[in-house]
Amino acid sequence: MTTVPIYLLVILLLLLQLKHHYLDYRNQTDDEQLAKTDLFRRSAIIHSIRHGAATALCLIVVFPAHPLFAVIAGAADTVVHHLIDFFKTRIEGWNNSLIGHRYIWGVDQLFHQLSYLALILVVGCVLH
Amino acid sequence: MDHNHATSFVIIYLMLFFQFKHFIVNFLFPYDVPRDTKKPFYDLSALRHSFFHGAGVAVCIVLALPNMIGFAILAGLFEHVAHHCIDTAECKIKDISSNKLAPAHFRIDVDQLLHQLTYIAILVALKWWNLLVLGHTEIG
Repeated sequence: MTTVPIYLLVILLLLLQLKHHYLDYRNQTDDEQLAKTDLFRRSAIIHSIRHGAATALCLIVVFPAHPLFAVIAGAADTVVHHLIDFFKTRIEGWNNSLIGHRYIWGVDQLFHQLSYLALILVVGCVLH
Repeated sequence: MDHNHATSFVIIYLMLFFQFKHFIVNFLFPYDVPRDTKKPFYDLSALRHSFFHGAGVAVCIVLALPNMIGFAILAGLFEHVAHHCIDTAECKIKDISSNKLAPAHFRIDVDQLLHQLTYIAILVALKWWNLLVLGHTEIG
């Protein structure tokens, strides 16, 4: 983490926030939302792939010299996003009355944000 | 550890602190913020909620950068005002086509994005504070 300018990391964070808002809230269909209870449902997988592809796009915009890294990070984001969404819906199904939808949604959003920070940490450590 | 190295870590763990602060204050604290359009701007429970957010931001900055108490206080005040304005605006967002109150999920989504952008604005302000007020080129 020595040579990536800080402003690029902040721009990447900004793009990831906009990407997250658009794909998780504006672009998500009811079918995608309902499909998340099943790890292998097509529409849930498509939702996660969209997130991964958009993450790769954000990385290519900010770091155009590292397309391979962008693709690998996008693939990782696809898997991580899919797992977070899956576990969120499963926990919601088990404990909806006990914990409450709002708390589980907060945990879900926290984990998505932590995954973006982990990506930025990796970017800072790996890219030059 | 060089300056850029230290600065990158500060940016990341400050944002990490902000995320945990956001989760704790927004989701774990007793939730009594008004969610309808009838509550006034100076509603005490909403002001208390945004005060906790502002104080949380100040604490996060002091934990990450103990020598920047002045910036922490200003950033905390900024977060207090910004959070309150965003939460109040959230209750009043209307659907342009129907001129009725927008669906709750739409308003919450915009609200969450704006809170995240506020944290990024504080990171940018931190960089400029170092440059313009303290005369440093790097944080850390």
